[in-house]
Amino acid sequence: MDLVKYSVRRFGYMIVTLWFIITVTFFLMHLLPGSPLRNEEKLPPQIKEQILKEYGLKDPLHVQYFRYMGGLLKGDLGTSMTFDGKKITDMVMEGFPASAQLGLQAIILGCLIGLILGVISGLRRGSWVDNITTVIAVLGVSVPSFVIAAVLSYSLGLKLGWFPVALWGTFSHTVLPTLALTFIVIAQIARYTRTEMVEVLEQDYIKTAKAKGLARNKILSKHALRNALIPAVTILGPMTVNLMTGSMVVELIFAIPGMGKLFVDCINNKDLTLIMGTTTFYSAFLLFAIFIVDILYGLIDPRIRVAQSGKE
Amino acid sequence: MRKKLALSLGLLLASSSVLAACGGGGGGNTANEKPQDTKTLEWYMGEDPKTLDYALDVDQSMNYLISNSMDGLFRLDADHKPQPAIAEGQPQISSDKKTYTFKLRDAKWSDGKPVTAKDFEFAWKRVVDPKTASQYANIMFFIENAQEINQGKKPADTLGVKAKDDKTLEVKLKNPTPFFLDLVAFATYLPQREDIVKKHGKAYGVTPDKLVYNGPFEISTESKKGKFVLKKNQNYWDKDKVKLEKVNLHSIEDDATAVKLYETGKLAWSGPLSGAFLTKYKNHKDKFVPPYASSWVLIQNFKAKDPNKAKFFGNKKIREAIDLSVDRNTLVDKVLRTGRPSGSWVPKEITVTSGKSIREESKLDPTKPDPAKAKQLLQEGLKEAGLSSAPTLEILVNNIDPNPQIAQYIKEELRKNLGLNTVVKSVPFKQRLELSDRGEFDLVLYGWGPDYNDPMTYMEFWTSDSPNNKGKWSNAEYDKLIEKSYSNTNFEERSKDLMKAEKIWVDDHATVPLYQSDRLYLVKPYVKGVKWHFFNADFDLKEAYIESK
Repeated sequence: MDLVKYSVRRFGYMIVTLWFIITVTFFLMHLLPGSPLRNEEKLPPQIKEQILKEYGLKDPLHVQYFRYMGGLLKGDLGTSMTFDGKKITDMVMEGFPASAQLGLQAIILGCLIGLILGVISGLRRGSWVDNITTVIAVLGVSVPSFVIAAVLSYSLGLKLGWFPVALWGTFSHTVLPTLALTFIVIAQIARYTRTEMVEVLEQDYIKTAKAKGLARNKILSKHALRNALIPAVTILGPMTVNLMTGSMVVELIFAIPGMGKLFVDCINNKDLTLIMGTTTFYSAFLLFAIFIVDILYGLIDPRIRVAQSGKE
Repeated sequence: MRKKLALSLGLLLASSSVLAACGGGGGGNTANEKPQDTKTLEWYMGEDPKTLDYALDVDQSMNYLISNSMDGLFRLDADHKPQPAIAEGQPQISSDKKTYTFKLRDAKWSDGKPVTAKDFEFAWKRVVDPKTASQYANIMFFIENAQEINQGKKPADTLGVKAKDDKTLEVKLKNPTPFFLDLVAFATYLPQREDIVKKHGKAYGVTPDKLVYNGPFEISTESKKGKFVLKKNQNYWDKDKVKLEKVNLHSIEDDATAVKLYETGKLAWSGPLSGAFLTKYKNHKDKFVPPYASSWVLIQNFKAKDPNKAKFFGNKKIREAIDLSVDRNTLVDKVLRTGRPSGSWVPKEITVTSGKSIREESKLDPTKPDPAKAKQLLQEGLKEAGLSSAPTLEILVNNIDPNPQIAQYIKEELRKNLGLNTVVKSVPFKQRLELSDRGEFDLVLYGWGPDYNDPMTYMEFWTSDSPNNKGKWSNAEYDKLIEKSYSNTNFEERSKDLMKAEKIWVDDHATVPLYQSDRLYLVKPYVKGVKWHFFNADFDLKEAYIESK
């Protein structure tokens, strides 16, 4: 029952936060210079005015806001101003599958390798595995993914010819971009898991379990790992959202038809409906991921649930 | 220790990525083996088109697709001259050169229906209708009443275009227009089917299945984000000349990626190259410099809000001093690594009535730098303008390469040769446009490309009432010559007037002409028959083929 109440409250917060983000973005984006017109440089001023009127951009800001919110409540994100007639939902959905596939592959691979490295280096502090994990963690955090992408594309793609250097189509096209994206996941997960493993293994309840004669594997899987996972789960939500909604630079380097570039293009083109669409999509996705992480917290560690419901 | 390790490994990886841009391939060792499938061309396209509805706008990628899947009344040949396409032969032109009557050949749309004069009438009326909100409607303003209709002053029915019958199209122009046949080859002048437009409504042109085609290829429904597919149109009237069965156009926005795909043989064309690639592929055997016309100048603000700055630019000697202080050769050789130094506004590709290049008929060489004379002129000019010293100037540019580098170079030239203090303001494109529209700049870098092959596409830029004349330079004689050229039926005299106007612009140092840009492409030697153009679409694949042996 506690969990249900807790979940409903978190969901309510999520909706209010989303409304706040949408409203702030709507008014902020009108401060951007220029108009959404593409051929602006060659466009006579009177035609420019005419087109802006057609787009409804000459209406008072509050009228535009309520019109947008009205559409949003009906599930209509509107149509793009630079991609004439194209529905924002279609644009997001066109790019999302490729970005999501790469993001998921990177998360799964990264979590797998990161967890293994984190656990082993936590168990064997100072060993060569621990040192390698440290190197990977430092590299993964400090070297931007586009550098890794360029190196992978040049070495494994262009020079060795093992994988396609770019484009999209088969699984082999996903290998290099996935590797480029997965580095940061491995680094983060390994770092958090290692630190937490070291701390958890020092806890009294682990010593008690050992003293009671519990098998090493059981201690690790049932007691140590479960608690060591909490910080990793914390970062997993936002990280998954970030990766699944596309990395502009990695998608650019591998010519992937994802949605990463939409986030930048919409600002550069001042495509107002697209800015709102991508912001709404990203925020909703991120808030939902945070919501799921909150629920997972409650499941992994009931203390969090109880504390947040104010019963502690 | 960790920081040091991260730094050194980071540097190692970063330098490897630089190697990716600089290493290998430059000597010509690219994969030039011919593809096994000689009927399919793997082609480059910068980014996905914004729309396929050519009434609304014409962006580069859309023009690539539409110009290869549609035929207008005319089509450009390999020498950029318009040749009859859907029009059967040359039009009949009235004695006042304002009425064109086109006879149409038997041609079909991709769904088998005939192409009729009504399709042209409908399409052109749709473009100028303000409800369509076309961003390229102004290219129709040469037609009678087009501008008035677009501004809502007249109904769309009054447009000077009429389908006399299915095979006869009569067009009435506002003024005699010597380049009108160039225009009817342009995407905005292509025909559209009323039934298809009405059937799809707002979804018309959003995806390839919501259009019909009358050109060499159809945009296939296989097309998706990142890859557009052209398939041979079996209903095309001139299909025997179309040799390719399929063209895959890949959206690649990163130079380095396009070059890598070219190197591995996955693309038959890559370009335009920029940055380090210009040096790397300078002597490559696949290098190709297509005809290209784009003129770049530094605009001076005659109506600067600071009265001292307005006085400064208002003095001709000072303007000449600025002109004399910039070395264009070094700019082109060292900063841009491509292009040509310029002393004019209209590029050499543009021809005049004689059929010759404007630069053959009117030689306007780039100014040779003369710092000593420049310094002297500046001093004299300051005295004449009543200024004790030169104000600090701001050079406004957009932040797209190589514009900030150009601005830095000019800043240094002005400091070195004239002792002027300047500040470079590098902003996003939209902001640069807004600031220059509002006159909030001292010097702004501007480039311009042609819409058609006639000096007017450049020359109307500088009239006193032109919205493009950001610096508000004004010259009554210049305005008179341009105004006269709009309606002059003597086309030879018109050409001379336009050249005279350009000379006035140069002699008055209205702006600082800097350079005319070039493009550098890589094209596989086995690709033949592509027509490359400096206006309209960059290329035409109608007669392109892959050399089999």
